[in-house]
Amino acid sequence: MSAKTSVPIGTTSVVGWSASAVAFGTALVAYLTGDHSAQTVTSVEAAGVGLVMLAVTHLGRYAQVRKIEGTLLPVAKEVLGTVEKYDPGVTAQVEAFVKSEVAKVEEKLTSEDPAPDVSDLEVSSATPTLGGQEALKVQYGTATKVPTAAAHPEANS
Amino acid sequence: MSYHSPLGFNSAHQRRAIREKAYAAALTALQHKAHMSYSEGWDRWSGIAHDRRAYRHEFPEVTDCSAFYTWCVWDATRAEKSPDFVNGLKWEGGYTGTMTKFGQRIEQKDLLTADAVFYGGSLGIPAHVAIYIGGGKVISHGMEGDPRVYPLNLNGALPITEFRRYIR
Repeated sequence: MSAKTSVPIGTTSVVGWSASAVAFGTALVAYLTGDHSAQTVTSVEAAGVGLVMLAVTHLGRYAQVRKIEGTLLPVAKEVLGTVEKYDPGVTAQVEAFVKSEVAKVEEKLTSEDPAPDVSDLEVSSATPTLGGQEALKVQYGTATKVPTAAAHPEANS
Repeated sequence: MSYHSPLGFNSAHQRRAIREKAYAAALTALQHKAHMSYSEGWDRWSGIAHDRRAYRHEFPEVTDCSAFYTWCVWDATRAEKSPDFVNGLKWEGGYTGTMTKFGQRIEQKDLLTADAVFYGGSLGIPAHVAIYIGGGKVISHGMEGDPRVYPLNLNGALPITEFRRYIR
């Protein structure tokens, strides 16, 4: 299992990737050879999560861990179903599949725009009545100062 | 090509995380819209003054469009303890007329989540501002019953004046 692999924070080693991939493949083989116990299924899922965790470690995005777990578990289940149905012997292909999914997650995390899915948000068809901002001008003078990172160095962290 | 952020948000990951938090803050308010009201009085800054934070499922109970946008970005940048890069008033005040002195004007094609969309009025003092949430939609708090999700054009209520980016 990837849990035994020591991966320094902020870096993802080749060894770490390989170990996690092997852990995933080993658990998957156990499943495909007939061990459909809940423990083995959990191992498959956990090893898959381990791969993604490495990606997360690499990106330093721990806040995303919960979300990624939610992304990967359905993928792991899909992998099990697909491999069992078509070609139980090709664990290497399965690993490649999982890695490609990890790459997709990496790409999403690297993008500057979170691009949330807003399709489910109901859009109002009302025409709003707007515009009181001009009247607020009297509350403020022109004394505004543009902040800089230098004034707040902690913002550079 | 390297990019130097004037505000110290030098990592694309960091800017992305801030955008995500600002969007989450706007959504939090949207979910509690029944408990929110519209005001152009000084109480519109009570959300920030009372340290109302989205991660605690809190929201500004009284606000207007500019204070709402500012609250979303303020809430998203508390980890960085960022200075007021939206109005330049120590997160204690502002309106669209101060917002347009800050940030960077951008084109519509370059809109990212949590950018600001200004409407109506003049270029210096737009009549309204809303937070862009992607997919051609904004969350706007411009009257009682808001915040609501609107299409980018606010159903034709006011013409778009400009787009500005603060998280940069």
